[in-house]
Amino acid sequence: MPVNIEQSYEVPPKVSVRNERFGGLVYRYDNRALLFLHSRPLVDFLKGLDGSKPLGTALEEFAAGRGLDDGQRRAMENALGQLEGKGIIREL
Amino acid sequence: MSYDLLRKGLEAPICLTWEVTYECNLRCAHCLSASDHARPGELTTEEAKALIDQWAEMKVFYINVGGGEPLTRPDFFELMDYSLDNGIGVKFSTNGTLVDDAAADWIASRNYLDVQISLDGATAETNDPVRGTGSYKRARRAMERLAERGFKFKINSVLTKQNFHQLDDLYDLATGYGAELRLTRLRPSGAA
Ligand SMILES: C[S@@+](CC[C@H](N)C(=O)[O-])C[C@H]1O[C@@H](n2cnc3c(N)ncnc32)[C@H](O)[C@@H]1O
Ligand code: SF4
Repeated sequence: MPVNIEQSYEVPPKVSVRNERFGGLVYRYDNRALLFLHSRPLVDFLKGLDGSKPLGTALEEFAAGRGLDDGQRRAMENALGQLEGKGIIREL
Repeated sequence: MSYDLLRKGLEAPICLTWEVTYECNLRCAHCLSASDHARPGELTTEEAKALIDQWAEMKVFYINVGGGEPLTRPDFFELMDYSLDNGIGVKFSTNGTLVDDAAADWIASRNYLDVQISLDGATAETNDPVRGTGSYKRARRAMERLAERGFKFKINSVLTKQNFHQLDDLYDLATGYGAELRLTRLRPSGAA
C-alpha cells in the first residue's frame, strides 16, 4: 500500500530501530517480528521520523540532505509503504 | 547479499539469556542449572541495572530471563521494569510457586512481557516426582491467577519417559488457559 505523503508518520513506541553494517534491524515488541533493512538511508530516515511534518516534506528534505535522486527517493517511499503494512511506521 | 553481510556479524545481540540468580525454592531432579542457593558474587541491584543500561545502549531487543528461580530475587520486578522502561522486552521462565496475586497483577499489567511457567506433567503424580511435592498445585495456581487476569502465558514441559504419555492432556491443560504449550527436550547437564 502506498504511503500518504500528505500525512505525518511516526515510528510507534512498540518498534525499535538500530543500525547494522548492512543497514539496520527493526524489531516489533508486540509480535516479536524482526526485520532486516538493507538500506542505511532508510534506517536513518526511520530514526529521524518524528511526525513533525508531512511525510512528503520529510522525504524531500532527507533526499536533499543526502543528495538522493528522484529514483532513490521513490524507492524509499515504496519501502515506507511496505513498512506501514508491517506496522513499523504509522500515520498520525 | 544479506547473507554475506550477515556473516560479518551483527553490531550487538538481538537477545540475551540472563540467569538472574542461582537461588531456587525447588530442587527439580532434572535441573540443568543445578540451582539451589544464590552464589557469592551475584549481581547487586545497581550492578544489574548498569548491565541493563549497556544492553539498552546496544539496542538489545529482548532478554530471556531464567535462573534459578527469578522470582526469588527481591528486586526482580524492579529489574524487569527497569529493562522494559529502557526498551528491552522481557521473557522469563518461572516455576510459578511465587506468583501470588501481587506478582500476577504486575505481570498482567506490563507490555512486552512473556512469561513461561514450567510444568513437567499433566498431573501431580507425574509432575511432582520431578519438580517436588506440591509444585504441581502451586504452578496450576499461578496459571489460574494469570488466566483470571486475561494474561496469555506459555507452559514449558520437559519431555521425559514419565510424562510422554500425557502429551494430549498437557495440551488440553494449556488450551484450557488459552496458553501455548512448549515442549523441551531433556538436556543432560546440571543435576539431570
Ligand atoms: C532452569 S529453569 C529456570 C527458571 C525457573 N526456575 C523455571 O523452572 O522455570 C528454565 C527451564 O528449564 C527447564 N529445564 C530444567 N532442567 C532441564 C533440562 N535438563 N533439560 C531441559 N530443560 C530443563 C525447566 O523445566 C524450566 O522450564
Ligand atoms: S528447573 Fe527451575 S524450579 Fe526447578 S530447580 Fe531448576 S531452577 Fe529451580
